[in-house]
Amino acid sequence: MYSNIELFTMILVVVLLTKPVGTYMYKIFEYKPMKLDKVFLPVENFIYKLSGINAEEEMSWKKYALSFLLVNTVMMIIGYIILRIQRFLPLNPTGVKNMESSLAFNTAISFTTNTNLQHYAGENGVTFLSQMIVIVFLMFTSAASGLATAAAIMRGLSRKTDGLGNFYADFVRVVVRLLLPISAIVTLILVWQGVPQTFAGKVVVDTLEGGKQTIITGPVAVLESIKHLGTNGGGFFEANSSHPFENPTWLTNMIEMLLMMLLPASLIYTYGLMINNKKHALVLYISLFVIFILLAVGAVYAESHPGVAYSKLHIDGTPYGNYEGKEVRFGVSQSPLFATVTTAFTTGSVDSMHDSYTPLGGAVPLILMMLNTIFGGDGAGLQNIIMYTILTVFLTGLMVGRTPEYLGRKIETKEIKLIALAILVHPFLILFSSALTVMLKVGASSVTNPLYHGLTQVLYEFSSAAANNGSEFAGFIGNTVFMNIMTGLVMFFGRYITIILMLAVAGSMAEKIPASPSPGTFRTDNALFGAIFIAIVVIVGALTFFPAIILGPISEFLSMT
Amino acid sequence: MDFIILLGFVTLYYVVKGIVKWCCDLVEANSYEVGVY
Repeated sequence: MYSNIELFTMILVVVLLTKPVGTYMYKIFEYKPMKLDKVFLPVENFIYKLSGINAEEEMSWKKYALSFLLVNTVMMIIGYIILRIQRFLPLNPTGVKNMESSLAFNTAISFTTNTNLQHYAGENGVTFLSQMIVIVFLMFTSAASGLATAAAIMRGLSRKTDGLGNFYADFVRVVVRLLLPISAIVTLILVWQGVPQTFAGKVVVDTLEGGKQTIITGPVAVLESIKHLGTNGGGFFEANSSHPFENPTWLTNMIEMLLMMLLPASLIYTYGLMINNKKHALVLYISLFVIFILLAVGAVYAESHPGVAYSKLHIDGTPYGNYEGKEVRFGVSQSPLFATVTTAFTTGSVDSMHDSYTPLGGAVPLILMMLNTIFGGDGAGLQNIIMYTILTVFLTGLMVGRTPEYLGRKIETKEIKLIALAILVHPFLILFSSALTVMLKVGASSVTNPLYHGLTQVLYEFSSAAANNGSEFAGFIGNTVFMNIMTGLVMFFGRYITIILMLAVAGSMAEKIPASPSPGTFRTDNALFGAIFIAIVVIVGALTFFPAIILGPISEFLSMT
Repeated sequence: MDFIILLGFVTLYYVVKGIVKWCCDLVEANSYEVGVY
């Protein structure tokens, strides 16, 4: 009951914020006048001038995609180099060494692609300088890249010109007008709640037993705000948001969940404004929340009722649910809620250890990453939603014998080829990599649990990488050369292939002359469309991942009952 | 090792760039349909 109140309170706040934040993003993407232009414009113009950007230039989808790819690759390479030489650079009070090469490869890709899969221990693996100019910097830029490409795709579906905008201008505007201001405010709130923001490396304290304990601190609050706002998820500490310095109170836990949901949910309202069809956006919004609520309630129920096998352990507190791997201050209500939010909104931060969840409770975050459409991360999520929307329109068109059209534009073979490929990339990356890992000794050695749970560990790792989520199934050994390279490649292709294909779809749709809806047009703004959309998402997800889910968490659940 | 990994980043860039070109060809191959609707 308590958890349901938290869930619905959280959703209510997100719903209330959706319109103002969505409208604000619409103004950013459509270059509408703002009250704060006097503040933002000089900053943006300075950045344009410094980097030689012509912000007025309209880009074709191809140029937009290549600019996005180039900027990301350059940042990736710079990030890699810094991680490899970090011990020689300043701000290293804890004496951190240079990162091993395969781990640096993985980390650079991980943070550039908005994944934040961490195969290193946050407090021991990177210096303060690396935390700021690699980790935090990439948290801003990866979120901005996702939102900028989403803006381009929305323009492609709504404008009557071939151009999709200017990547560099979108990128700068998102950072300056959206991410930086909100992060600054949230950072102050987190500091108020007890999250450290300091360059003091470590504090040595006397324990109650009379011993000495070294406590590592650092610039945590600034990372924590963009980590959730940017749907990044990488923690300052290895324990991520279960660490009391990252997430000290019930309030910070709620704020972090709200931040994760804020931009992906609001972006759907922005989409409605950009395509001038708010009813269609509302149908998508409600449909996604229906799936999200069902899975969130399911996860909380599974952790609150861990089953017969658990009760046989005679652990004190069993009637209160599965507390294994959970912080007492969050318990069995907030922990699975956080797990659902962090995987639905593709963030990847954790306030509990998902490996310790009950089989069905752990299956929820796994399924959400496999579907990768239930809101998703900043920008990338909306792209997947549009992908499934076009597929829904196409399939319903086939069923009723109408030429499918979306937003007045006919859907042709070329768009469906691109969409089909985009949908297949995600399961291919997960299932192929998982199969390869369990087949090879070098991969299987990372698995720390037998049988079904072991397979779930592998599936979780690659689902997290392919969905650019970044959360870990805690027991899995990720930091090996094989896993660093494999997950690095999965993160890279999982991010860029899908976005490139969706930009191509948007570019193709932008070239078409939109027609007014006719009586034969399949409506996308009613409950029927919402129901079919949900069915398509679930059916496509089930067709591709159901066998793997059966072999992993479902078999584990059945074996325990 | 660093050189190989840096080369790897460049290779990955060109692989995705190749996908951009493939998509471009696919989109433009059917450009005769533009404006039909």
